[in-house]
Amino acid sequence: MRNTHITDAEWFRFWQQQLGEEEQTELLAHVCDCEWCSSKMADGIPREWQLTAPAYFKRETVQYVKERTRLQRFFDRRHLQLFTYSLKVGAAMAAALLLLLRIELPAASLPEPGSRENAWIESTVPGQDQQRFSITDFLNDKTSHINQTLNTFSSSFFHKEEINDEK
Amino acid sequence: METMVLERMVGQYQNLIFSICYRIVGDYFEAQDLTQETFLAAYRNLGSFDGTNEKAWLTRIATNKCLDYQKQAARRLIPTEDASLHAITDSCSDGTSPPETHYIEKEVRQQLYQTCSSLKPPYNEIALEYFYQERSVEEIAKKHGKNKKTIQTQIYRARDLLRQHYRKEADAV
Repeated sequence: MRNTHITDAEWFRFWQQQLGEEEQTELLAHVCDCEWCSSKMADGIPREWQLTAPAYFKRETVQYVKERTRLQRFFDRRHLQLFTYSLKVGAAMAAALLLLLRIELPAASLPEPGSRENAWIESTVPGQDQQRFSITDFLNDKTSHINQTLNTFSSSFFHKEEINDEK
Repeated sequence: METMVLERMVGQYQNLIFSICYRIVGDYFEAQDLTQETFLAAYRNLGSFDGTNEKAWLTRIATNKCLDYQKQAARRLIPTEDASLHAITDSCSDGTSPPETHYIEKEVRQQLYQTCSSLKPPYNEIALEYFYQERSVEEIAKKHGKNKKTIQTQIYRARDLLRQHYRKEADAV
């Protein structure tokens, strides 16, 4: 990387296309970093190299820049939405996996007999050793109990209605 | 407000940046693309620009874009005997511009005309009218009795074909 400014002779050779590939790359790399040389490049374009952009160019360029900017903002917003949605889905999956992996509880983790927790878990049969307990079975038992209670209630309700009708 | 700044910048510097890009890459349509990329980068970084020497700032962006393009394309720009320009002397006996003035623009226009003409119909006609004669989409649509969308599609296709031609010619050099 050169640390000296570009000389007039070098500029002349550049515009005359007389520089080798490496020389030109080095020159241009310096222009990228040097305000003085980039200013000289902009102000020193020879007349024969002063081209005119086509008539459609300004309109197309402004349109292009606006569209790219709009797309960039759109994707930035979409990225944020995708990120938050992914977080939610990830959290839900993690909870589901946790629930599945905790199906089998080891016997040592069961609450002590007589404890408050044990009142909810009818896992032991009197006189028998503690069995391995499943949350799925527990949920099934509780659901069955709730169904049974509902059935009993609805039966008694309809039975009362029948008695009233008969009266 | 930002659109006004953009339009002002493009209007003021499009010729400068296009000239620099064309000098570096030597391809008419690539130079246009790189010029557009330059203004896009400038627009996005307007906030960080301190406002001094806008011309030099845009020149640096354009040069950077061209260097990146060259690295990707790995193009060789060592001029051949045919491609190099003759040295232009400062002394002209009658004070008029030397004959090589605007030689490059003429060469660019000539190459554009030949390349547009070499396309298959209907793209040759569309390319000549839009890229060479620089007519508007509305004018072309009216002349051909087609709707604007059709003409725009044909212009996009013609541009792709022209790019391919230019690349082939550059690779052949």
